[in-house]
Amino acid sequence: MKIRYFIPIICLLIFSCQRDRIPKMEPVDLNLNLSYASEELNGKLELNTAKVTVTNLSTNVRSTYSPQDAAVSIENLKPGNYDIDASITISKEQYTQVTGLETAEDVTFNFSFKKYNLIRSTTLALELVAGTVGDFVIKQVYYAGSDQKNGALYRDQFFEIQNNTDRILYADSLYFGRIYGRQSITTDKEYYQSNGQLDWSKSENMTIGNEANTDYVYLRDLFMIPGDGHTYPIDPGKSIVIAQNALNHKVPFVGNNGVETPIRDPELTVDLSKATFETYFGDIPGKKPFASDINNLDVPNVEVLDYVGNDWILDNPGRDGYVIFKRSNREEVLALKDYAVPSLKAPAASEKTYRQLPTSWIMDALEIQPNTAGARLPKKLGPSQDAGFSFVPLGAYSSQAVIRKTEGNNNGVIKLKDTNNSTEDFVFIKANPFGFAN
Amino acid sequence: MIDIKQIVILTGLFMTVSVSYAQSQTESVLDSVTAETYWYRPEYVMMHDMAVRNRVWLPNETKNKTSILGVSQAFNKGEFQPAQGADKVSQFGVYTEGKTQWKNTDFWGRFSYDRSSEDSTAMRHQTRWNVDAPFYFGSLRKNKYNRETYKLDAGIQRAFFDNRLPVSLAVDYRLGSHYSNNDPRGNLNDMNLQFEMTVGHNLPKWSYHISGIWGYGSERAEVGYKNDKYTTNTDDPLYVNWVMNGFGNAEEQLKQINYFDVIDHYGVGFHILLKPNTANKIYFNGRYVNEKQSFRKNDNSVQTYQLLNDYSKDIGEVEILWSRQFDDRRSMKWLIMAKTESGDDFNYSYMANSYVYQKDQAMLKGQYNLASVQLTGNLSWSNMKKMDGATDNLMDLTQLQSGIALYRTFKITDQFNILGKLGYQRKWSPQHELEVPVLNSANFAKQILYQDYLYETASSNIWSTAWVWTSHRPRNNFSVQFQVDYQRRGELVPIHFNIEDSIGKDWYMAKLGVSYLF
Repeated sequence: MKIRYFIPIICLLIFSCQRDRIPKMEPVDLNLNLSYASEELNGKLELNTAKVTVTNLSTNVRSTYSPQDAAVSIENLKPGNYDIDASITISKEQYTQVTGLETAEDVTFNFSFKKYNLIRSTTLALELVAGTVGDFVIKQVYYAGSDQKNGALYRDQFFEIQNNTDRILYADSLYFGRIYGRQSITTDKEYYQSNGQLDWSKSENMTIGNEANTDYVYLRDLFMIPGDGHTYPIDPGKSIVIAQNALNHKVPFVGNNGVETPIRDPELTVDLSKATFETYFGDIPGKKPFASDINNLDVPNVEVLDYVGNDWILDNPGRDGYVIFKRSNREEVLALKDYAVPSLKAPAASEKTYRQLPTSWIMDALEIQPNTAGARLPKKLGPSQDAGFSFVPLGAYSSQAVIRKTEGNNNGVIKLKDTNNSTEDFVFIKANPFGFAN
Repeated sequence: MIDIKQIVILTGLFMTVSVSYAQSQTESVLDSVTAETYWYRPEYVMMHDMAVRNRVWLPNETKNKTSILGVSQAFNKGEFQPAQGADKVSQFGVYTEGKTQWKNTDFWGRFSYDRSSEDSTAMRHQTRWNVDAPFYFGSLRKNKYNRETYKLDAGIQRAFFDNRLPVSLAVDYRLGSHYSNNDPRGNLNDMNLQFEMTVGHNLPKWSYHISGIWGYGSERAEVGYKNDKYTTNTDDPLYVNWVMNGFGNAEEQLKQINYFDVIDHYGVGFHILLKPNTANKIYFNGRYVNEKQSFRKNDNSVQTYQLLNDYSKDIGEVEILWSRQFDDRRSMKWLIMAKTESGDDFNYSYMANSYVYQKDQAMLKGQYNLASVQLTGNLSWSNMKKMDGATDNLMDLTQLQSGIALYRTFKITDQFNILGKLGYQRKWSPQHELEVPVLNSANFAKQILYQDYLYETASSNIWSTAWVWTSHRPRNNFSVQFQVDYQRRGELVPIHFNIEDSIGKDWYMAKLGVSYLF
């Protein structure tokens, strides 16, 4: 049977007909060149101890790199969206030696690209900037609220600020508020910057160029701690809690419409009856606040300069940024210009406008983002204010709050971590007014 | 309204009954073989299986006026399993098969119903019919899956012009339902229908057939949560749903988790039989099929769906079966099979091809039959390569498997026989490679890649024994089958990754069946 000799030949023919298949899609390379934004620091302060973190947003995998000759080269990255962060902390002694400027704390320089769309091999320049290490810092933000049926919904939200210095500070004329930015990535009705955030330089009546985006943020609302300058002293390591409603939310409450609302599971919410301040919209002329906006006469109210809605309801999906700043001259704040959103259509006369706050005024800032990667928005804050972002993993109505990490305890004075990168500085806890992370 | 499952069952039963009662005037050589010998002796099983794969040979290698109706229950258990395997599988099956001739036309039919329960499985909501497809959903959370599959296969052949021009039609139909009850709960439905039309020419010493293949199918998958909290956050990584679109290219997707897969395939085949003399028969069978799958998701667009991934696969296979009869007591069979599969996708996220799949296999099997004793040996080689361009993931595995089995029929009484089998197989991987860049794949995807790599590269030994008790009467025989397999792996290759569900050492299988031969 000679035919049997053809058997191996047929098999060989089958396999020899194949081509070696290689995908047409290829991964990309990312080259990062680090420098200081301040030219005079380059060559004087080192860069090789910087920490460069690259996070793939589709896989949630993060990898940290150390630069060599102020550069990081990463090969074979999957095309997609990345967070690229760089940070270096210079000791106060070295900083003073190089710059001649005295500083009480070590200085941290940051850089951040959030949701950078890496679609081809790219070289990026990372210009590290020093953030303001604030005297007052944002300590805890409870924006998520508690369970809609068993908890207190959004009524129990609060905002906490700490004196992070070794000396007594006064909360008088301390301003706080939320900054406004793009609320959805699915709508396409405004002018946007290359990073996807609103391009405020295109706002009606805006006279400055890109500085409108880099040197300013835009306030959604604004509040001020009252006082004569020495009314509210805050000891080192102590904090003030500003409640949306300064009530004990663990017990049933009666709204200003007389309706009682039960609390089925008090463990889900918090007692804010001892809050330092509260927001109250009932004193705004012509404003009818929500039934839940009850004025606790034992807790002083903050002054309302700008507001939205019928109570200070924080965005519980996590699309707000928060800032604090201090100005002794109130007129200076009131004189800040305000602008409408840079919409493609000309804004109506009744369109809300947003007060333009110079970033140089900001004492501390915190960027909040939604808890799921797909819902995240372009950052509203630059690396000199907050190089990262924070969020509560369980999202809206979860009873969780973001809180700044504890860095040290000096004779009972607790110092909080402040590197101007909230991804590194904040963790989440079950909301706990006046509490600490660990 | 009649359910499609009822139609399938009724059609299957009708075919079986028709086949068993139809009377045939022509009898082939096989018809002198007893029913229990035909259904269970390996020398006939090998020829029968080849004829079922290539239905043009049904008149030659299947026995007329013989049908089988059986039930079986199998249990599989163990921790030596791939990432998307199951800890424990319980399978119940009912099947029936038969063949007859009527007015110079051969009819063959087979119907089966399988119900299985996997407790538990993870990493992929799947039908298990489409394992190399690049698009699927999965999560780390283990889940119990229940599956029901109905299969109806049929073949018909009629020879025209004095038996010189045979025309054949083969039909394969499959309908499946797969669902899990715990979060993240999946629900999948699949169907497949394939036709193969063949025209041949019979000559005194040989015959040849050319066939055209056409078919279509679909797969629909939906994953959801009873507990809404898993759709709003990713705090518990076990419950996070991932959508895989490539090889290790997975991203989170918590809402609107569904796709439908439209499958089309077409191809050509050839079948040659050489009969140089009465002692030798050589079958050559070859087939080329191109399969196109289009993964889509319904949306509100004008075309009503969003394209996710197009996957195209070329499948080429040949087999050569040589049967040699030395005398009444001795015969020999050689089977060579080779198959190559080449798949690549078009990923609509990148608007480019990113996933490439290649699998080549070759197998040589020999069988020597001496009266009541049969000895078989096999050697197989395979190479499987999966690549993902976007993530740069690569798995390249070569595997070898060799084995030997001894069968013997023991005559207990004039009416009862026992067929016993002892077998041993060894698998090993002489060459293997895995590349997984750190940043490009999520932990979910890495768990799959690394666990599969460990599983596929581990050497293992498989011991098996099977026993069939048969009655031997002119008509209406029974059989009872019992089979036990045990697989134990050797050392694992070292990897630098922490597998959450560590690979165990063993895999067990036990099967019990009862058949009625009529």
